[in-house]
Amino acid sequence: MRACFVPIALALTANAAQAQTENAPKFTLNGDEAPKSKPWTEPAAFTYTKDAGDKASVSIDVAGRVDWRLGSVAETTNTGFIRAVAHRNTDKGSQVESYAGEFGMHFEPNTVPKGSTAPADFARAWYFFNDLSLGYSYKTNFDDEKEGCDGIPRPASCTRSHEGSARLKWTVQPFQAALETVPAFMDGKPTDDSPALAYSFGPTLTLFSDQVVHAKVDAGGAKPKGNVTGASAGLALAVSPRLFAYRLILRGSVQQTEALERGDRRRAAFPRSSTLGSISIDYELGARSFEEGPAWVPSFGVSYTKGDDPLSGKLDQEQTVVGIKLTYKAP
Amino acid sequence: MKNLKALTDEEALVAGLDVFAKSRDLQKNPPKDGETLQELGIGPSNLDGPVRAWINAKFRRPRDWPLFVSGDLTVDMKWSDFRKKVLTHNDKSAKALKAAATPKPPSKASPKGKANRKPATATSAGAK
Repeated sequence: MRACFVPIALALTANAAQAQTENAPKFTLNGDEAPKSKPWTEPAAFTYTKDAGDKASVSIDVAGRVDWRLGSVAETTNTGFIRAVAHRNTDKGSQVESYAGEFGMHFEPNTVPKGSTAPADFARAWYFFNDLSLGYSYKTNFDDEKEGCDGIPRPASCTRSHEGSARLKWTVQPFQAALETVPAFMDGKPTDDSPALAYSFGPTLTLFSDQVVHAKVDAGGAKPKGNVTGASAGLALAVSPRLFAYRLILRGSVQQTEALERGDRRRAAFPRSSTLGSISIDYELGARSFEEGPAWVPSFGVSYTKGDDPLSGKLDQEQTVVGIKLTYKAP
Repeated sequence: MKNLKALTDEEALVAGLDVFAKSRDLQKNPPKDGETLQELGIGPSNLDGPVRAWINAKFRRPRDWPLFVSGDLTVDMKWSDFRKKVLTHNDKSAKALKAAATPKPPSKASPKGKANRKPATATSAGAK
């Protein structure tokens, strides 16, 4: 177990320009590959971890995104975006180093009857948030502390290598009003009609094609080369019981990635099937995350992550972290 | 619920939000200026999905006002700010922007040509 961590997390979802005009580009910062900020989305984070054996490590998870409207302001909600993602973890045994840049288009068809302005039609409809993007990603395949790496010659999967790839990605997040139930407050207290268990969840589907365009190997082994085409399905949720005035928040996510087609030289670092799961429990202290204005929101919690996400370079992850988290909420 | 067509913009906004807010009767307990959308019982995913789509269809598109894109509306907005943001706008109207983007060639003889050169002005309306 990793303990005593003091992550500094940032949740920036707005900028000053946004308050002045509806047409200004918007900047979003979070810590994950999720297309947008949701109740379950982890904020951008810098984490310092030190365990009982005096082994210290740091990790950084940042995804910054700028959106701007495409087309006439009165006719479209489609946006273009550019996004930069960085994941780095220096913890020996579960090291991660991956950086990505991408540009793309966001569009959101729905099933609302054409011409309707009745709120009930909008509450019943399904919404499909689509992100279609093309990007470049760079990652390191680490060789440290894997089982079965003692043989000579070392298996290719045990050799550190670097790969840069062009990636085409299409992500869809379906949503319907029933997927989220939240409490209401009056005079700072939950209303009588607030649910015993507030929840928000949603699935994410991703299709991707990842083609290595350059690669290098540090010492022996085969160079990663070729294409991987696949699909990934994820489910994320945030749940909060009324019992603690909705200050206790459980978040979880599970993502299953299937490589439908892999080049021979990608097999070592890109499993055919991989699962990444995470679960966390946080208790919000002090200022609430939904109150107006800028604030540092402290929370105490436990998080557990296990599995692999080869697209973001996270392989052989297993971490339990206990500690205090400080999240900055932008104005 | 009254017929939405007979309501003022603000009343129609509250009546519409009441459909999405399951944890508070907004007709009986109307929003106060200092309350945030989360306190009214509107969650972030609902706000960015169904609620934003309804607001665009009901208040923005018919007036040729800029539509809200994903991330424009957040649950930590105070009701007074939210109401103002939904029922007014800061930008030039889309029609004016469109006219400004496609100027017609000036004609010295035609009074119509002078009209075309008149600068577009921003408009604002709605909230009481």
